[in-house]
Amino acid sequence: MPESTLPSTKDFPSAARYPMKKSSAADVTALLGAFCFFLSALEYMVPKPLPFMRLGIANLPILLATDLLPLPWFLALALVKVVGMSVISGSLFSYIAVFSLAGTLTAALTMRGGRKLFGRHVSAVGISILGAMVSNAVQIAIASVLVFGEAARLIAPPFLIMGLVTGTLLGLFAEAFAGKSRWYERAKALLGGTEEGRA
Amino acid sequence: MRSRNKERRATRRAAWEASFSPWTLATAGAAISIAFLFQRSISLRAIMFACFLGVAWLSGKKISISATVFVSLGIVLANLLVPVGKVLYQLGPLVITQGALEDGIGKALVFEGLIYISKASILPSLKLPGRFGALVASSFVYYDRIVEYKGSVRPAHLIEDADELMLGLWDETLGTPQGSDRGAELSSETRRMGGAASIALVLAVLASYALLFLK
Repeated sequence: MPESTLPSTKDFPSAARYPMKKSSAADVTALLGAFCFFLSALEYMVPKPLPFMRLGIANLPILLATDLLPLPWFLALALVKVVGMSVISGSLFSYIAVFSLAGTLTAALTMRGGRKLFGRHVSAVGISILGAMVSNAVQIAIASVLVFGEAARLIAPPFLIMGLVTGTLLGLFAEAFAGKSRWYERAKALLGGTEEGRA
Repeated sequence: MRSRNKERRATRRAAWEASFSPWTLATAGAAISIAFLFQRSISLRAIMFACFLGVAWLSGKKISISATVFVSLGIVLANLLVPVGKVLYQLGPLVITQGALEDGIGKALVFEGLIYISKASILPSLKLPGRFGALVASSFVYYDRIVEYKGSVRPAHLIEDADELMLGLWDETLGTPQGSDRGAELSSETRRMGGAASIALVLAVLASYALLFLK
């Protein structure tokens, strides 16, 4: 695909505030988006009691992007994950897409907000747990409206415990990966990282 | 037996994808989904659900009846936990009430019905418009490369191997990701639809809205 077809910073006006090369953020976003697809596909193979009860491993690239991508591209990554997976799985018009959109966007915004608020005082594990818990809580709220009614409170404890466990594991992996990965180091040097990530 | 079923499904899928243009099919699917959401009658919802299941089967998409039954039972049971309306039956501590039962069945039909109509109406070749669409298409290109990756990713060396994979993709395609099969497929998705396919879609949309006026 020619470079000119990739989004540039002028598609996201606020991106102009960030010091970065024009096509680099688009490339990093596209690559991380592809990993979201891949991890979603892996997650799809894990049996689960309800279609929207996911482990959340596909949010790993979003967690890594928290300290990497400027906010407009970070949000674009979250949307690429939701829309791309909905097209691949053919669930674009179903409630599953609603759960996916709400879960991914709240996790992304919470993780980003957490990083902005706490800076480097909270590790990737803390940020990951925060994102997973808020995301799962929002999905339970949506489930109570669309599917389960008041009985949604019964699935809340296992769903939130699952978020705590997977959030911890993903955070530990992200922390280790960010510390050791040469790709992450190069991408961060190229993009300059986020102000919060540097703080 | 299993491989023969797989072949048949692939044949149905190819025929389905050759019959419709992705955007027209998606638009029809969206219109029918809205009519389905507004349908209040449980029996008509059940009829529409059966049609969606049949169409999803025709489209060659993967269908799991056991998963559908399992999830639907879960939704109905969860709704039964909160009694609403006339008591129909009592099973130990579980009181089956008419309101809760109808609500649960209705929600289960909508939940599963939307999945099947969505499966049938969203083709993988659907090209999203604009620059956001180009970003999604770029991700598909990278995704194809990940799937085609020849190197190994060992659990004991997960970080090192995943890093190697990322570096490989990055160096190979930085700045100018070349189109892969899916990229080419995405860029040439516009195709002409036959008259019969167009008529079938128009009729399906009209029928879904006509059902809203039935009691």
